[in-house]
Amino acid sequence: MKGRFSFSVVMALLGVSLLVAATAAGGTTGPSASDKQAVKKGGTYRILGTSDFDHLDPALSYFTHSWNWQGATQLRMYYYPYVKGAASQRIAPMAATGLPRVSNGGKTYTITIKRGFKFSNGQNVTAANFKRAFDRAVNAKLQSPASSFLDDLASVRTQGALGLQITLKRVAPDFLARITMPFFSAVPTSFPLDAEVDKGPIASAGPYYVQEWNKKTSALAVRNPNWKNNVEPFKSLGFANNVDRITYSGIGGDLATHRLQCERNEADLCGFPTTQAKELADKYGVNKGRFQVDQDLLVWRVDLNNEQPLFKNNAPLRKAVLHALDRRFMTAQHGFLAGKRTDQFIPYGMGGFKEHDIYSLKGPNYAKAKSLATPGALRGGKAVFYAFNRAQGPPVAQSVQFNLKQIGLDVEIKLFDRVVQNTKAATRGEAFDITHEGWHADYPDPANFINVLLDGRRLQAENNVNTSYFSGAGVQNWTQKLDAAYSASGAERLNLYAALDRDVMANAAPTAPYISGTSRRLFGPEVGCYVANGQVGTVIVNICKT
Amino acid sequence: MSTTAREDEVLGATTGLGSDVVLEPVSDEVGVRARGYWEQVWRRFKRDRVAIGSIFFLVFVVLVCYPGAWLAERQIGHSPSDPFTDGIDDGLIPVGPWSKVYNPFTDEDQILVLGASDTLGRDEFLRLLYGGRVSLQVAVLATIGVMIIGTILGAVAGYYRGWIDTIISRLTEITMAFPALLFVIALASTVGSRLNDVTFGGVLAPGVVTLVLVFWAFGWFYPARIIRAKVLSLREKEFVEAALMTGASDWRIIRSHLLPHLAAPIIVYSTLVVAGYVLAEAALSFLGVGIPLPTPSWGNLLSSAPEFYTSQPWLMLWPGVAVVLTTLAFNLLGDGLRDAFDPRSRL
Repeated sequence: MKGRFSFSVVMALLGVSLLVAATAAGGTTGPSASDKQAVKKGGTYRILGTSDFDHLDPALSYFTHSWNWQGATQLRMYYYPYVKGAASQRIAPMAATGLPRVSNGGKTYTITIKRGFKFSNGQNVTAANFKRAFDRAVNAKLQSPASSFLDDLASVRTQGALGLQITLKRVAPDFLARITMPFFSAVPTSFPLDAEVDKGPIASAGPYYVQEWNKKTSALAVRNPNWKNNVEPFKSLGFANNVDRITYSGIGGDLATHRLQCERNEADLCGFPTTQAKELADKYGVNKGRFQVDQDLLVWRVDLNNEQPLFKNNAPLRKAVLHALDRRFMTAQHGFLAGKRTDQFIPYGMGGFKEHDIYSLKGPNYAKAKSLATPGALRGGKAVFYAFNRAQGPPVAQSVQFNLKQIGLDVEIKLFDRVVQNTKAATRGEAFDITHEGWHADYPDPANFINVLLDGRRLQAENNVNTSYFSGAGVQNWTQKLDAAYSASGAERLNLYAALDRDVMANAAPTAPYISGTSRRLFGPEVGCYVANGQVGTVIVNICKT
Repeated sequence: MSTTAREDEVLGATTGLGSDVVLEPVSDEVGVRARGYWEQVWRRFKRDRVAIGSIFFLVFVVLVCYPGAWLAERQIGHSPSDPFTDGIDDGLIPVGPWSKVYNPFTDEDQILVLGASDTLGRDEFLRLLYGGRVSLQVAVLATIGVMIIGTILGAVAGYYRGWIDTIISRLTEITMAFPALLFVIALASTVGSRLNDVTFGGVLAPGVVTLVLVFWAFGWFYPARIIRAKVLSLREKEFVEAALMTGASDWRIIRSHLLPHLAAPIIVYSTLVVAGYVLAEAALSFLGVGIPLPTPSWGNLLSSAPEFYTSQPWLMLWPGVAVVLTTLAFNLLGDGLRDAFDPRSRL
């Protein structure tokens, strides 16, 4: 998640998250093209971004805008459908014939792949191509981020040309959700197990494939010549595939310039400075075509390091901090319509979210905070805050610094480049007390927040995402509760996660979530409609230009 | 007054620019004293009204930034780092000049004279005053240090030549080629925070020492090269040969005969780099070196202002004007000093 994660700041910089709509809210769509003019077939969909892709090899790609391209170029077994409403929350087959047959007490998944899909290089898609994706993901030399999602994988076997049998070490109700991630897309068996594929053309089995990738400059994707919309198995997916080409450029550019380019019809999707969001909303209206805002599965938070002396076994001070923060002000720093204030770990719109009203969302409660921040709890009253040096990083850090000064805690802010800050905070033993982090769901399940970010058993020497280094102190039987929620399914699962969210925030307060974020998009004048998806952002295959 | 005494004064004057010595007409009735070098410099300098005006302006800036900022803070009732929720509108744009904001700590409305400075709604006026302290400290200390180091190394290299020159010249080239930014980032993550705490009892703002050391480490080579080139030419002049023949020591020749000739380039270069250091301070603070948040400086006020150039252009104007006027004052002062030290340079 680190890669996606780092980029989430870049996205904040862009002012536009290419990630997507909440599942509870469902996939969302912009205005219908039919309301305006007829949808045009052909042409180019032009995306401007300030950062290059991390990778375009599906085994390694993890930035949000990289997943946006994976959505257009890769063929997955399952996906969250590119539709509006409740259907967008239900996993549906893409390359699979149907939902998997589950056996062996819930530990074995047997999947059949549809016949007829072809790679852009003409090869047929078979089960072996999906097995290759798993083999690459677990290969230590490739260092795929996907490996962290496969620690319960026992084996992957092909059964004939189109059968795939996956066996797990233990029951995992979120397994199907996990394999919707682009890591597990079909790849040619010629893709090396231990090396990245990064030279275009990159063969893929989705509606488009990457023809060129000029690193730090631009990328171009064109139609997969073997994708036929009007016949099965393609037809039932219902992808529109209106445009012929997709371009990505503007790397290293300026957000204000990108905005102007979209306004001058020199691009179709652009970032913009956070401080211009209101102006754009006033100019184009919200969700009326050009300036689109969708609830997202994204939470920004201020983590308190539970392993450093200041906050270790110091729940009163951690709670004092959470009472002292001015969430209204911190949220404002993300710009107009950037999200809702929150004091909970699970984002709005995700299953398992329930409003608990634990800390003040209107402003700091210094009286309550001071009552908890006794001299004993303050432990000298000095804290080190690792912040990133762009976008909302410095102002949020200074807001926290001011709030905590009022309860007797002097905060020293250390600014770093986002990647450096994230890497340092992810290193166990690093001497910081507070850090600023954001997390976007890889897939819409509360386990992707609670288990991934707050389970102390996952802590390692480096590359941690649990940057509050919380292991459960302050919540009775935390790990047992985590395991129970993870193993449960249906409504019970969501209820258990809602209870965990309340328990951990009210009793342990290891971290201070403050905004449940949205995605804000600025489109060029030719974009007639779009669909937002929880995993891959703006669904390029269904973009229509007029 | 005896002739011998007059000769002594002439000799004394030649310790500076021998060619500038002016002997007053000698009268048999009234004894006339030859003016010393520094006296002549002062006489020439005080005739330069622009330079004198610059001094007054710089003194004014210092008064405004030191006692003035302190007084203003007490008069206004909040600090330059206090954020105001209603100091920004719902589009995250800072409010304009003379806006009223609510202070929850005093339960009163307060006026932001120059508006809010950033997305935290802080008082631009107070930040401008306090920011001047940091910028002046950084710019002046860095310039002085850089010029001292550069002048000494350049003069030594140019005067002695040979292996000393070789060593200093290679050192200069190494420093020029050194990846300063990487060093600065490494410095920030290692000793940066400890250095930031060095304030000499609050005389300097936190982080000033770090920045000044960085500027000293990577700023000396330009003046060193300029001075070396100048000294290489000067040391071949007759007056240096004459000094050598009279048995003057190397140190005396460098100090008393060469250094006065170097005043012009030193002053000109100094006035040029002062403004550069104000802006460089902002750039390095962005990398995590130097001025820690929330301490204001003209550099960081300037660097955050372009974000609002369409909505609040004032935010570029205030610190911009402060930097421009201060730099101009330093430049004009430098011109005046150069002319005073070396009137021949006035063409």
